[in-house]
Amino acid sequence: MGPLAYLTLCSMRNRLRVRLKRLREPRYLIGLIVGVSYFYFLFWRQRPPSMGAEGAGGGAFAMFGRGRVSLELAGAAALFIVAALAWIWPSRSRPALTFSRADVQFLFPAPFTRRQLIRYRVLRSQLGVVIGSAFMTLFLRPTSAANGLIFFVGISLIMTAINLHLTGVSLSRESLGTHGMAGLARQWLPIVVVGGAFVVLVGTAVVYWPDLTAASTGGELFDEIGRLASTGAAGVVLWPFRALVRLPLADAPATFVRALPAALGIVLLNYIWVVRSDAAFEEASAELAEKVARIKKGPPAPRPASKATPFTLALEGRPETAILWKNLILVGRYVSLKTLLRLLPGVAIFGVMVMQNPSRGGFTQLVAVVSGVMFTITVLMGAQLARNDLRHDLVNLAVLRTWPVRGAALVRGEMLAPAAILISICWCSALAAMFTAPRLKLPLSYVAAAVLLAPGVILVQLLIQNLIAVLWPSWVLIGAHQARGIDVMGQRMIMMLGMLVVLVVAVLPAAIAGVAVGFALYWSTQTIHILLPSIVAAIVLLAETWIGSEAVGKFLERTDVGQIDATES
Amino acid sequence: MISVQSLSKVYGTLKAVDNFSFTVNPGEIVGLIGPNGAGKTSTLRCIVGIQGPTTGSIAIGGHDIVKDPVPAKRHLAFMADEPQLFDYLTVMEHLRLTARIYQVRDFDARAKALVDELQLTGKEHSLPAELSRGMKQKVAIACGLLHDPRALLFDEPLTGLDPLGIRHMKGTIVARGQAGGAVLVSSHLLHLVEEICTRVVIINHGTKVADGTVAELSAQAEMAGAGSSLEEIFLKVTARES
Repeated sequence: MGPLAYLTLCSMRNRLRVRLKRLREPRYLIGLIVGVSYFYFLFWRQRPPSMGAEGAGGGAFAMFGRGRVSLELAGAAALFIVAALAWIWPSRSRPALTFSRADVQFLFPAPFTRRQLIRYRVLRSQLGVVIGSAFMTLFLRPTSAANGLIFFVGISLIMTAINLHLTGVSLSRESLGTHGMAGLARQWLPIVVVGGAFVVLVGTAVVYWPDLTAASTGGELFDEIGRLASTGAAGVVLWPFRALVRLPLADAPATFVRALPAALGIVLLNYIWVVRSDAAFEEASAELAEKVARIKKGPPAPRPASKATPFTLALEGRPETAILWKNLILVGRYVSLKTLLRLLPGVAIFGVMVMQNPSRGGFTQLVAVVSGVMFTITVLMGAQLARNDLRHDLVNLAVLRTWPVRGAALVRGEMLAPAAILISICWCSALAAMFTAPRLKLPLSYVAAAVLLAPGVILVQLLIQNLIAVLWPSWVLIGAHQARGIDVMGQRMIMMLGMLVVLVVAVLPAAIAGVAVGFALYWSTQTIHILLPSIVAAIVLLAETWIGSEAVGKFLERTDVGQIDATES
Repeated sequence: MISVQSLSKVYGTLKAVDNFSFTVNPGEIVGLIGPNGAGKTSTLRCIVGIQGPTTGSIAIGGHDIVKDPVPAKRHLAFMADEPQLFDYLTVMEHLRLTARIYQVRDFDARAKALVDELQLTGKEHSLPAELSRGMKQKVAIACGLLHDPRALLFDEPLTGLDPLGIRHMKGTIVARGQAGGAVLVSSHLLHLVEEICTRVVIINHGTKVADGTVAELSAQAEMAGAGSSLEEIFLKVTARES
């Protein structure tokens, strides 16, 4: 057995051992029970009794028969978008080439070629592909064992192709970014292919735009898109994507076998592309690029190491502001103007869609719906997504504990940055809704009530999230590390349920106070008042947050640093 | 300035520190030494409030670190063996944050002096990822010294430093002691402790086994014999305890 195969097998075996061993701890055992129960109910509970009959019963597989061609087209389009986005918005982590520190320390100085190392990482990443494909297959509840196997192999090959392609894109972009013209010379073929594909598809859309807009129904439009995607240059461009998607959608083993060679060929081409992006040539190219750069430009200018802070931190004032400043810097360093510019194509497409809508009422409605959805998601889910608070900072608890700052002030300071971001999003959404409100006959008092209540609801949720992080640090995701496994997923579900229960309990006093004031006003004026009860409820929520932060602060002061474990996997 | 009385720290069934008492007075540089797992780091972490003691009391400048942590921590600086910095703050931003937390008024002058003293010039706008381990150590030390603390705790202060950095660091520690600071240095480098410390406390299996100047310890016949080096004293004492 080769050393890399030995390393892979030992790692897998020991990881499994660790996962099994940690089940001795009740939190993982309970998590596993909840996770397995979830999957049982999701995959098997509603399964039809007769599994053998093709197309019998529910499951997404039944849908395949009814719209296989449409699915193939949609899947191919989705794959093309993924491939195109990879060039516009490449992953920094390079999916298949994320070497661990131990890999770097042990394997890089070892007598392996870079090609061997790339092959090793690519093959190791296949484990995730296999597990992911198995879950997808189970999720779709195949109607027969053959169907299941076809779908599993097909989806595995698609995911492998995506994985390889994203890795190839990352390597190409790195080559371009690092080696300039030498990198371009090395990577010209894939760049030309991608650029050409993009031009063909956009050109087809432009040429046949009158035909597309002439379609009077959605069905006609879809038929026209299908025709364009199957014929001419666009058909050629989309062929590899359709060839891949055809595999899991195959309705019989014979169809699958016929589609297999093309799909395997695509995977193989991507594999060769990735493995050939080896060091020797690139290093020579880098030397060449450096020589050219020296001749042409002289020494390169140093890149700026950091960016401006959100505001200048005064040297006096409450410590909460200092922690807010620190955590806002965290967001600023990860969300750059470049990142926002990458969203432009999406915004442009959205804009074109809106411009195509002849009705101004439609536009207003669209803005209202988007802002409403944005507001609701931010209020209900934002606190779980914006994590630049104690959930991120508990890994630095040893440092925070040496600061002469009360625990409550630390908690409030940590909550401020995500709160500021989420409340800003909510208020911007509400502002957009406010402009559309008169046309949609939405009372402004409702919008004002939402604006008033959002901060309190968000702060209460953030407080609960931070309370959970302080009381049960090993149950939540701390820092950037992410524990994995069904047991961990079960833990997350328990925490989510617990958070909802606590949220209901926390919001109840504010709701009671608001409703009481509302009733009192109605009783005395015979008019329904929205604003004043909302103000009362918001005040109660803010007071609860303040009192709660004092309590969480006390817990934080007593938290043992040894409980914080951010390195589980 | 630093007073540790009957400190015990228990992790589950493991008693890391057991009834440990000592003091560090202003102007003193005390070396805390002991074998691996003796309880040095646990003691330091209890003193600075990172973790609470199981029993016993710790006072910094007369303030109990558990009952009255904020005033106690205002006097403290802890330089850990593994520098822990915020990934997304530059060197200067670390200093500014520290200045705000400790309410340092003449920030600009102090920050410049520390940057010069610790040879961080040119690295002011670098993120931790762009710094070597030694540089990170210097940033952590600059943050620790910024508020002119009266009680300083160093855990393996020379780790990761280059020869010039080591010389500067030794100078920094001695200067703080001579300026009236109470300095506690935990290290395995016995020659460092012997060179810069005015007194030595030896801990083994969580309990204090020796406390005094090197001359006092070497004079005690049961330890090593007159004229012994700190290394000989240490090996004798810890071997006897084992």
